[in-house]
Amino acid sequence: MPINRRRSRRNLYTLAALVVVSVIAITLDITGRAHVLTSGSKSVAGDIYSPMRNAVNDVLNPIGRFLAGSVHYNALQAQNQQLRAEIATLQLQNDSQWYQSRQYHQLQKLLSLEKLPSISNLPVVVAQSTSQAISNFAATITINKGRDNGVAVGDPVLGGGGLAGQVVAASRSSATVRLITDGLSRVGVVFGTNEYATLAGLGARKSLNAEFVADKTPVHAGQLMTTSGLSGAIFPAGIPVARVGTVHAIAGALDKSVTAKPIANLQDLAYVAVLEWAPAP
Amino acid sequence: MTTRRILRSALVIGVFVLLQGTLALDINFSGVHPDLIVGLVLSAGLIGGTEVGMVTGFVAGMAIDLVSPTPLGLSALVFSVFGFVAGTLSDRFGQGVWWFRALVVMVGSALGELSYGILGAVIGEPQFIHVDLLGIMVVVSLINVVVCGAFFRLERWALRTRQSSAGLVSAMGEW
Repeated sequence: MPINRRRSRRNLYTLAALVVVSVIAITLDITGRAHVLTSGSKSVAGDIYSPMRNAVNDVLNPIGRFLAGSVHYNALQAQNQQLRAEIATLQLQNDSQWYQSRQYHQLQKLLSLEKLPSISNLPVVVAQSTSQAISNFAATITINKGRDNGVAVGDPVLGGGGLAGQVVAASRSSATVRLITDGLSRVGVVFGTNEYATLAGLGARKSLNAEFVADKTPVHAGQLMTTSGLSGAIFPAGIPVARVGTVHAIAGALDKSVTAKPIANLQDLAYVAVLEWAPAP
Repeated sequence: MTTRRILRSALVIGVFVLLQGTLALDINFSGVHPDLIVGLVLSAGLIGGTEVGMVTGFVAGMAIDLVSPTPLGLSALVFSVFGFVAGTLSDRFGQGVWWFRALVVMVGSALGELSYGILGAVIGEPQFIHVDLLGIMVVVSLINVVVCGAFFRLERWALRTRQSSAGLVSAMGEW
């Protein structure tokens, strides 16, 4: 048998083996049958990766900001002109004051959320957002607190004046938070006069889709939606989540088409509060 | 592969996984950021052949799966197949002229993202096709084709043999 043919056959066998291993890993991960193995390996990888990424971030951040500036040159130029006009009226303020006040407002919002009756007695871990998702296919952020600080998988996360998401992975010193806009996110909400719906994420920077809003349900734009806290819910009751955006009745359909805009500004989460809360068994 | 080549390849993969989680996140067009890993895998296949391509794809994919919230093994599956395809093209047609390699990286990056999205949806992650898949394909393929020269040079350095080894600097001189 020619060497080339033997080699290509060996390569095919190797590829088949790699595909089989990958498929086994996917199956174990999504079915949760070996949850300890898959989440454990992700947790260990997170423990190793997080400090290295933080160190590299410290070094590369100035380069990244420079590149980001180059990429968005035209938009930045327009912004720059606008800012120049504003500078004339804002001369008395300086950048550091603005930055501090922005952080202050985010923390104020967190503090006001912590006073909500349903969660005021819960232990809270305040964390900083350190990065966004590595994948273009997920809406997540990484925070700088992990298992060592009391953060656990499943904990609700607040930020920017409302519900931000839920912890989906926690290593010792960091955790991954799935934002409510992620396609896998589902939040049970209550609005109006005791009407219930489920808010489903449609991806980063997109509105939420309110599911199971019956055709006869009274709903209008601007209505506040808060977590329902029904039995078995994954979030405690009473946390502001979103405001109703658009409402459309669909001819012949049982449900209305309703979108909602998250209350929290999920693109600009500097600080978040992790609630140490687990649903009642 | 010799131990040195394996270690150098592992180093390149490690560096790229770190860059993907740091520098690449600072660059985004309408919320889409580069996917350097798929470009690296295709380059490994084009420079090192089928075996190198698929093994690099599997290892790099598994590494990125371990540090991201997406299903474990999904990137490994897609990247090992695309590394295999790029390697097969290289084995069959040779490394060819620069534009051929650049074309493979561009088309491969776009198809890699498309396959990842579709496979993700097939295994029960519907949000994978709710994202701006076309935008991701365009951004990722264009960025990878721009930087693929650096991928090729790094892979040449990682895979150089003792006879051809004059260090990273000489590898950098080749396109």
